[in-house]
Amino acid sequence: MKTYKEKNAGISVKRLIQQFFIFYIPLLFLVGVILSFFYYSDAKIVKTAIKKHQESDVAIKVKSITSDVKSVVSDLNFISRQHGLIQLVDKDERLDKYDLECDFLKLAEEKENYDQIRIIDTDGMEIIRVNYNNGNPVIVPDEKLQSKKHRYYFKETFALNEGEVYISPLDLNVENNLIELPYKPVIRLGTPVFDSMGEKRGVVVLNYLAGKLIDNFVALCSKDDDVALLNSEGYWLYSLGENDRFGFMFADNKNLTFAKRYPEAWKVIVDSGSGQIDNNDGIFTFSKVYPFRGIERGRVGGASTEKGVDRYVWIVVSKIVPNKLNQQIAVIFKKYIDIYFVITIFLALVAWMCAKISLREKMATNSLCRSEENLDGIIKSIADGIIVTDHDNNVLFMNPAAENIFGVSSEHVIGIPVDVAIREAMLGQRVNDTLAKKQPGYQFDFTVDDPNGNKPKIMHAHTSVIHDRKGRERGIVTIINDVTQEREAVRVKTEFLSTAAHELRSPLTSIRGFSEILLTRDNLKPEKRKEFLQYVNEQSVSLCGIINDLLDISRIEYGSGFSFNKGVCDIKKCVLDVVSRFKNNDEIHTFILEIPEEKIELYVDNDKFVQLLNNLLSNAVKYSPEGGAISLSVSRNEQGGSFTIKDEGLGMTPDQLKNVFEKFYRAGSSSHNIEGTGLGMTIVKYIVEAHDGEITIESEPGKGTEIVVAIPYKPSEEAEQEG
Amino acid sequence: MKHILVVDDHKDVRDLIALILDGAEDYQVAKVECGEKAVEISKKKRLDLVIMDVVMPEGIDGYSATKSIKQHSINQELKIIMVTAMGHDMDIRQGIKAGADAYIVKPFSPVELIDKVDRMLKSLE
Repeated sequence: MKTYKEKNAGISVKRLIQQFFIFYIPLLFLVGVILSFFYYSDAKIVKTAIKKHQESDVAIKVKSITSDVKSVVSDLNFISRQHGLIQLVDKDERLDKYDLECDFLKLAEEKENYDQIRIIDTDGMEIIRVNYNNGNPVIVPDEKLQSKKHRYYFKETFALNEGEVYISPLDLNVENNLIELPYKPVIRLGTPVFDSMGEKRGVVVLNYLAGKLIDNFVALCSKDDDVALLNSEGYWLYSLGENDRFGFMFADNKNLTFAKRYPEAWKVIVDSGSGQIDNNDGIFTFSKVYPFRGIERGRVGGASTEKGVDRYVWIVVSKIVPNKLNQQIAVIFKKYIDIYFVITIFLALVAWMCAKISLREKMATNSLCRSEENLDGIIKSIADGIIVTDHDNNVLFMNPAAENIFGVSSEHVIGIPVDVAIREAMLGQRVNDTLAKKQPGYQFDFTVDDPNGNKPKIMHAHTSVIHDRKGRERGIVTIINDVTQEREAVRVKTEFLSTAAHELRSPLTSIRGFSEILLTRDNLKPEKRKEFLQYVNEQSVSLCGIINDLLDISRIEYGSGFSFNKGVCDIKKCVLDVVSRFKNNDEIHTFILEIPEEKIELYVDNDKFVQLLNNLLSNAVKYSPEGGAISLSVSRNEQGGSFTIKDEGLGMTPDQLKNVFEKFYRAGSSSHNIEGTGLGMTIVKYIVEAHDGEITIESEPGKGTEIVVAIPYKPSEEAEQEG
Repeated sequence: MKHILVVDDHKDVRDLIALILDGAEDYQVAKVECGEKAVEISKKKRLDLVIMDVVMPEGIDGYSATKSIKQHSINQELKIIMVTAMGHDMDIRQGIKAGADAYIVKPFSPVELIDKVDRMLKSLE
């Protein structure tokens, strides 16, 4: 198992962090968007729930108000039609006024709703008055009864017809022109009283304690609810802020209206029965209350209202301030922020893991690509041809070297059977055989035509079976290399050895043959014996010469070469030495030497130069078997020196001349019995070339041969080195 | 008297073979240095045996000469022994294919040569 370090080897922290953010930021964004969606829909649900709650809250309050007011009207109707009261206004003597007062007292006590229950006569004088007296109802004695002739409620009520009801606006009770303290909200309800003859005899006025109605209204509110009860003009009858209430009652507070504070909301409220307003001031849920709509036959009057119960309107408004709503939404927001925070931590872990995995994969891919590129580069650079074939011998791959060898383009041969693709029967057959015979491989040579029209090239191919990991055969890889030079070298070497052996066998034949004869035949004459020994001796000398020449040729042809020990050398001296040696051993030839007086210095290897002269002069001697003049002229020129050797001997035909530098070639040797190894001229040519010189031969059969050797003062290589 | 022709480009080898055969039996030995001359002689003169060198720098080689002699010789029973420095099996096979009856590789022993020549000529009788 790999350690952490090994797993992450090569991953830089910077790249890891970059990769981390590449994963992390989109994930954060995505989760953010999703959570935002949930948050907004949650917030909407909450807002809707709040609105619904407000709506139902307002509806309950409306119901409570309506229900409270309903009993008041019925009480009023009851009183106005009460028999005692009729008797009273009929001035029936049977009536005991006190009884009636007691009834009213009882009513006030029972209902706890009426601050005052009054009967006022046609002159506006109170006839009966029961005061609730904050829970201790009392009958006001006659002497304390007051005239209410000028009070608006008397006037309004007295003007009504039978069955009609006057309802005053809800306001604060005023006693002796002062607003009673503590504030006592009241509604005065009045209805005319008629005697048994149908004559209007006065009015009944009930001071309904609306405070109770408001208390019931408030009881339905929780502490923080911002619920208000407004009158039709937009004054607060009840509000959270105590100072806002009953603004119309106070000279200084005439401007304290809902309409002034929330004009936008008020506009909507005025025009609608109920509804919700969502604006910058908050959410307003409102519903209009028609408290006296239950009065079927009544008419409603009042200071500010026209006749008609529908004009008597209060408005219940519940308000949620933005802050309150925002608080609730903030709770949801915080919940989502908490969730987001937890998720971000989780996402960070996920992103980190993904970044690492991704980088590792990237690196693995990169390294795979690099190694593939490397491998591809290596295979393409290999000088040997490579052909890969599949199980059916179709070409799968061919590298550029193989393309060159066969003169095809791999894109044209891939997928084609190998023998069709390259038209090389031997190769195709062997590749087939390798798979068919299940041989591990073949090695063989074949030839291909050279695209440049040169000699066919010899190729060596080696086939191998490709196995997959499970050991199944998958195809063949054939490696092909050009062995033309190697094979040529082997051929030349074999030929040389064969020729050399042949050349050695000839003198050995004489040596063996004559020596055996000398050993086995005792009856030989002394001159014959000498003659045979002469043969043996000559052939052994010849053998030595052949061996020396062979060694020279071998050195020339197989790389080691002659080691030239060049230096400035006086050619004149060399020539004189060599020629004098020939002169001394030859009686049938005349040697003519033309040589300048002064020294001729050339940059040559002295020994090799002597060998060159020896070979040329000995050829001139050998190929002039009849004798004659052999001339050697040496001359100097600007480039260096040249010398010409001319004989009057056999000469050569053009064919012979063509082969003169071939190894072991001896022109006309058989017909004229000329000894020699046939290697002398090959060596001469090599020595001349090694001195950057030139050799030219002119020859004519029967007339002799002229050889000119020109050698520059310094061969180019040495001149360059010294220069 | 048997007529033998020695064909070899080396004079010493020609002389040697002639010498070996002269001293042994009643053979008449002639010598030439090239194949063409041997072919010409075989056409004009009855020869019993030709001792033929293979590698000769001038003119045709021993194989061609052998083939030609076998075709054109006036003595169709004439035998040819190839004497050559080329001692490979391949060379021997080539010589036999060209028509040679026997093959001697240089350097040979005079005894071996005489033995081969004697047997070859006796087979003619």
